[in-house]
Amino acid sequence: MAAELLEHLREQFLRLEQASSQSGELLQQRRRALEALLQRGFPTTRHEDWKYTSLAPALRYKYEVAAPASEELPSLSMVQGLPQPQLWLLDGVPRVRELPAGVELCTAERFALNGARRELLPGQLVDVEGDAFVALNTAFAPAPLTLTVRESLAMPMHIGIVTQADAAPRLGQPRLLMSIASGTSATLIFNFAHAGANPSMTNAVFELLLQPNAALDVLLWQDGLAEAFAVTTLAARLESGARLRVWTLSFSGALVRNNLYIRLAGSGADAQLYGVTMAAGQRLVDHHTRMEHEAESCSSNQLYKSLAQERATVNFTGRIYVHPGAQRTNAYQAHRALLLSTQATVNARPQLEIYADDVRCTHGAAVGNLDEQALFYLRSRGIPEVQARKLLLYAFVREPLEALPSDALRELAERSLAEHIQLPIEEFA
Amino acid sequence: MGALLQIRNLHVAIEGKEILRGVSLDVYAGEVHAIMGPNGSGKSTLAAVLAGREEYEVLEGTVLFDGQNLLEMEPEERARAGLFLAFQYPVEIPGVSMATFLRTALNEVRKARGQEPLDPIQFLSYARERMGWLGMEPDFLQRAVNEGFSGGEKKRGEIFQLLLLEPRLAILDETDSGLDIDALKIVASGVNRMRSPERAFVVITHYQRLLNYIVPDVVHVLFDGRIVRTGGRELALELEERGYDWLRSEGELVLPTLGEQ
Repeated sequence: MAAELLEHLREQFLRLEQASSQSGELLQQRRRALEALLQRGFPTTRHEDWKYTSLAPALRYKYEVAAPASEELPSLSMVQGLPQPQLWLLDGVPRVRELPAGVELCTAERFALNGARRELLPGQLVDVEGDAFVALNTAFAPAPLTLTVRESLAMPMHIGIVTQADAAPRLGQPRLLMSIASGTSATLIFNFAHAGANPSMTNAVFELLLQPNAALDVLLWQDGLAEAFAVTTLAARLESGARLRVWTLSFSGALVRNNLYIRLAGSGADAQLYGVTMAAGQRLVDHHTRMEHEAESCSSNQLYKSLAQERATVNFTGRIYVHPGAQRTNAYQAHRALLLSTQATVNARPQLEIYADDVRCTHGAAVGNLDEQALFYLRSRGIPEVQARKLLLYAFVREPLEALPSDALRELAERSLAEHIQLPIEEFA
Repeated sequence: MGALLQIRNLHVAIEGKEILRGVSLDVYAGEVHAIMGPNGSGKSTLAAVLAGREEYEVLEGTVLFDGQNLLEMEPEERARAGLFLAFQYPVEIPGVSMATFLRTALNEVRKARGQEPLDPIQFLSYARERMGWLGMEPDFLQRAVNEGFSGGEKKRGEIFQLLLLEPRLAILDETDSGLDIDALKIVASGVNRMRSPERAFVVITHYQRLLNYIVPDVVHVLFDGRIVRTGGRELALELEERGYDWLRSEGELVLPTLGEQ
């Protein structure tokens, strides 16, 4: 199956290459990426990083990778209450509605032609040779973009990531390199959605460069993926004093993998990763984090909460890697899950590698059931069992939302979460 | 009028061990009954069974609440019918605010009584008035259910819920345990405020101290899973003076209980 898809991809690459006017370094990069992909193939469960996540269901289809001709913006009901996206990435192709002041958007081609500084080319923070999905994205991403935040943004910037499988199965591959200027702050919301009657796979690669003292909040809002497949790789490098917070709200998608690779490269940098996962049906959600403490006096925190219902699977692999010399490191990590059915599965793998001696590092992974005492307490006050259960699930899983940067965003996220639990939020507001 | 609560020959086991061994009790509207007894006598088991805890197995006997078969009702149905248990150990529920919890509960109970639900603003003024009666901190409603509460705060919270939900029968399970005298007085004042001809109380306690403030109409002594004595207020004083050992020395003596008279 995977072999057929690879062959299909190779044929499409040759066709695209002939039609393309691209030349130079980017084309070479694409060729090398394709070679790497063809050589390595897609990972299987024999691969340690994919041990509990079989890609087989997602690799059954012959995805179209060519950029669609349509110029129309989709009219999707994305997250209710959130203004329409300012930037769309439709099958990886940008459509700009309006950019906030202080934000610049460039195609990577333009940067390459202009002989821009090398660090602004994509591929800085990810492993093209060693990671099949990064290679896939690098080979095909229709429009690698560079987004630069030069001034602090007063409002969150909303980016709609939509893969449209109307006529055939489609692979949508957004590619974005973001640079957050020194001392500025911004909130970026990546809103993932699937459209169309055919299967889709979104394979997004985001690279974030946080200059000294930059502060960035990122929401990966995976609410509109329906039964689609999605692999997201977010790689960030934080310079000294920079702060990054990432919330992954994983409420939809048949098979979702989120790779968050964070490098704390400058002293005093701080990264916080939060995850809320609701998995029901046969959904599989796999969170993979790698927190690299490269510099001293950095701190990191990871808090993931998950619900696994019915026949769903939630996987969490969290690696904290403290490099030699990264003294005075504070690193915390916790994944807590409720396993709500005998057929649901939770796999949690905290991995610590510490090569410095002045380090405070803790991790915790807990899998449990609903607290029966709490359930009885609620029922004993007249709250029906079904409702009491939902209230407890909601209360358990919402904790990572508490730190969201604004009340408005928190309320939106809570509302979305409540909808997925089918909890009438009005009664609980 | 029949008894609001009628217990007949109730036998209850947990994990195969019989704890209640034939309890009979009638509680009429307007009455306050105290149930006293040494540790392990079955007091809390009685409270738990009445509230509907599923881990207890009823071996024999009947319980009628306002003429309905209580033992067939779900815990939430019991609450909506007007039964309330003040927990000995109120449960902490992180992530659920007191306001959310109590407004949801109150509106369920109101629905069962044929009353309109309260919106958040109506609820707030209704709740604040009652918080005032118990001298509670203003941030109480914003806190997570019982989370990080001191023992006294938890017990006061239970009485607050009693004031809020206005049940027909309130069972107080060791509400006095762990309270200092000031907290005890506050708790008792809340209960006394709620005494009415339509409402009954079953006050479960190890010590008679609470009964100085909540004066009972009837005092029962539960011993080894049975009610071995029933009397007036003075029985509680006698227990305080003599302890429970004199009951033990009387061995298996079973005195006629109210239900069998």
